[in-house]
Amino acid sequence: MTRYIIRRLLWGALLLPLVSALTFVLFRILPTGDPARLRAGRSASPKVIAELRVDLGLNKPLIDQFWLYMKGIFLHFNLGYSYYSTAPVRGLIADRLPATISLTLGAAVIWLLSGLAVGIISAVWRRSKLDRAAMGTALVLISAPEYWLGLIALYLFAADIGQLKVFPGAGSYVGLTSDPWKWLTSLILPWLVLAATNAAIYARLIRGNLIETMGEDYIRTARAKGLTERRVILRHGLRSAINPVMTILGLDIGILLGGAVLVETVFEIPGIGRLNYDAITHSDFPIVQGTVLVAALFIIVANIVVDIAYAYLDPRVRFR
Amino acid sequence: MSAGEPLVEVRDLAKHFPIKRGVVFQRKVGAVRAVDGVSFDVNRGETLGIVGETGCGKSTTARLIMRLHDATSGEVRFDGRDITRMKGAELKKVRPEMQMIFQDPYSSLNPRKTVGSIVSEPFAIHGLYPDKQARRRAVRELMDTVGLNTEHYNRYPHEFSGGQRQRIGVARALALKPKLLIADEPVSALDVSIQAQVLNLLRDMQRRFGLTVVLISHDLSVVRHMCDRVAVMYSGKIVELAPNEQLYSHPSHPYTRELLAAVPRARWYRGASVS
Amino acid sequence: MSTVAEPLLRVEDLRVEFPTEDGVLHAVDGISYDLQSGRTLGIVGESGSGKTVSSLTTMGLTRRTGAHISGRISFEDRDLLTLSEEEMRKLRGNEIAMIFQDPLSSLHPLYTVGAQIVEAVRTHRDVSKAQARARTVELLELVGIPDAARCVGDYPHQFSGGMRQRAMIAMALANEPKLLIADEPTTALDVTVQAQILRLLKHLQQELGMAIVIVTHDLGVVAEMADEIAVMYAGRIVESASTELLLSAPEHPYTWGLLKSIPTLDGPRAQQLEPIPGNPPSLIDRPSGCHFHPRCPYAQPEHARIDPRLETVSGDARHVVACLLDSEVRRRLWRERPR
Repeated sequence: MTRYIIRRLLWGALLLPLVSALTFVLFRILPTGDPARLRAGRSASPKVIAELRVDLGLNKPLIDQFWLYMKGIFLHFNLGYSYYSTAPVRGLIADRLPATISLTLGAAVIWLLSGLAVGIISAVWRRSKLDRAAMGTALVLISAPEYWLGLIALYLFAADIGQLKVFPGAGSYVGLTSDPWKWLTSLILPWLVLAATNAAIYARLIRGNLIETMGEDYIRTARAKGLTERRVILRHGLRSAINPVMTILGLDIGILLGGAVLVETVFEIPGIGRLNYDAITHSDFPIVQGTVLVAALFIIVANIVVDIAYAYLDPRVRFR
Repeated sequence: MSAGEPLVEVRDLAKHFPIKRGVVFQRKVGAVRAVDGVSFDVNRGETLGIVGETGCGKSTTARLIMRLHDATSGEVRFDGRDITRMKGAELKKVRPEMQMIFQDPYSSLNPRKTVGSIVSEPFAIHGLYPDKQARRRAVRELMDTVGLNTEHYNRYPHEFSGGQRQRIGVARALALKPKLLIADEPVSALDVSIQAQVLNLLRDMQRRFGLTVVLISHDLSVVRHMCDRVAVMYSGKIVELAPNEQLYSHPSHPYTRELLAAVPRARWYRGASVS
Repeated sequence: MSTVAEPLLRVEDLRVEFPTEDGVLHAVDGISYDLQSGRTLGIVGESGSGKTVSSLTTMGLTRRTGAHISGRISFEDRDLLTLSEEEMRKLRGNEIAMIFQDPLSSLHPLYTVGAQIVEAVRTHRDVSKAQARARTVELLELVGIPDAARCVGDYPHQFSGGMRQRAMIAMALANEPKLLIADEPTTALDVTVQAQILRLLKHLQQELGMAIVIVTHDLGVVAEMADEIAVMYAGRIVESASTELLLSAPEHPYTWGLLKSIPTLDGPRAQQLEPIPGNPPSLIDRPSGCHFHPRCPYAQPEHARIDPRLETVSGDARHVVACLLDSEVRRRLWRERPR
């Protein structure tokens, strides 16, 4: 088991520099134009641009630039400086991270619990009207685009522009520490919107897995032991059905931590996704580069965690 | 073809599956010796039985003879030729001469192909009967030989019972008129009353086509009924190889004796009065 | 005072039908048998004979499948078919236990063997986890698993086939059942392991005084284990007798067919096995009259119209046969069969 974990960690450690290098190469190859010129602004003189080139180290050979870049990331955690505001990218991302984390984790809890509830009920009362209604709704939610759902949610429930003024509208997010209640209420609509699609996917997944699991021989044995049906479903059926769901959950969270762009934009939440989006529109590449790296980091870590968690969930995997 | 001479000669055949350990680089730390040095002949026209329990290596041995696995060491000679390391086109030429039927009639037939298609596939692979009509006729003949209704040419495997599916497997195996037929647990998955039908069919086919048969089974009674000589395998090795009568009445190896003693039966046979 | 004890289990005219798209599937078509404490009944049949459905129904495990069940299953004077689901649940794994064919798929792969047995104990007994754990080790030792205290923390896939089946037996015996139903308990096992498991079952039966119903297609297994044998075909019992009698003087053509089609280790090596021609019948579209008549070499035209009933054979009240041929004719056919 320890061998398994060490192997996973080593792979992760190998992947990070690889992804960083790849990011560097990508951004140098992209036809983005001269960074010095972008940094200088539109009405800069060639002299200013030339000076900036030296400042930014763009006159050095590519290898040196690469080396500086990698050293910067891994030794100093320096992700560069924004062209637009000259603020350190690291700081910008750190500022935005709490919002993204709040959004992602809250939504994850909601979609997991609702997906489980609906999935289990649908599986146990399969083919009933309830099941059909649930799966039909799930299909609709999976097909609906997030931003559309977000706009509909605002239209219906936002305090400023909505029909039923229930929740705070877009742009009302505040940090947890400054006003917990406002933090909570401002996130409810975004949570629901972000969770909607995933809840539907998970409900279908759990339903399918549970139906399959309930047909296994060990379920018959569990019943033959005299266990209550509830225990049979939850401790025997669900226990097996949930394994693949856990791995997907980890990966989904990892991906979302890199920024849920659409939801953050519609609800004007100052998260990493929004940061990224703004940076792209301003061609502010250090920020984009920084967010890509951070997103990659989250995904790599999520993969490692998920792999290790799976070995705990399924003992048969450990003994490879 | 001279009767009595070996069709298959196996010498010191071994198959090891490596066990790998290691964090970053996997080193081989040991091996599972599925087949650990077996030697035997299969004489032309005889039925040789290979018996043993799970994991003794009998199926792996069969697959080694059929060249479905590559041997780790040792030699397999078929009809005088060394086929142990044959590859490619050369091996393909030998394949029609040895065919196999498998244990599970439910998974050994492609569910998406009709019976006719399954039985005629060997023809297609080896380029026989390019004429469609001739091919259909050949397939129908085979179906008839194994006791299947030729009108079911276009049916799918799931429309047949287990016993009938085994018949399809036999028909497919016989399509290329092989010299050697290896049957790997051909009746283990079948109902008792159907088992007898399939075993009789194998007997008939052997007689009719002059086949040499290797029968692999864990069922000692089946092997006793069908085979001229019997090899008992344990842990990748052959512990005893003897003619049928001798093995069952005077087994010499303790493991053979243990196997025979373990078969559940009371002091009865065919309803003779109980002692 | 009666000298014959009341049977522990008495099945009367049990019928189980499943509605399907193609029609009603008559899985069990009116079977009756009884079983005394401490005795073993072997139910022999091939696939589609109804033997497994009848044993699952005794456990009440066919209730939620949409089946139509009728008849009576008396266990210690209670009719199991009339009990509520909750009452039935209290009996399962407690006074009536069941073991299944494939122990690898029948044990939960993600829980340790110990945890699964502890669960079996604590479902019916109000004991602490520690007590249940101690009982679990005791049970594993009882069934002959070496190093039981350590094996308790192992997962099913870490056990060998024979050990797994022993663990299943341990789990079934956790609450000292009065009746054990074993559905093909040795079919998935190697021959030497089979022998060990059968020996174990016999030994445990003697120790605990339980009744055993062993359901199998293997005549050799019932020959060794059972005191009485019931042969099932197409949902009905076609013959039932003590083991000795059934194997030495069977009177149903299907039983003859089974005996003649099986290769054996004793006696002369037969030239050709005598298979039963044809295929087992569909349970939806059964042959009319005697269900066996299409495959019976001795069938007469009227056998397609008349339903045979189980009748006692003279000489032994407990030997019953459902066959339309005259008893004298049958005996002659059996006596004069070619060897």
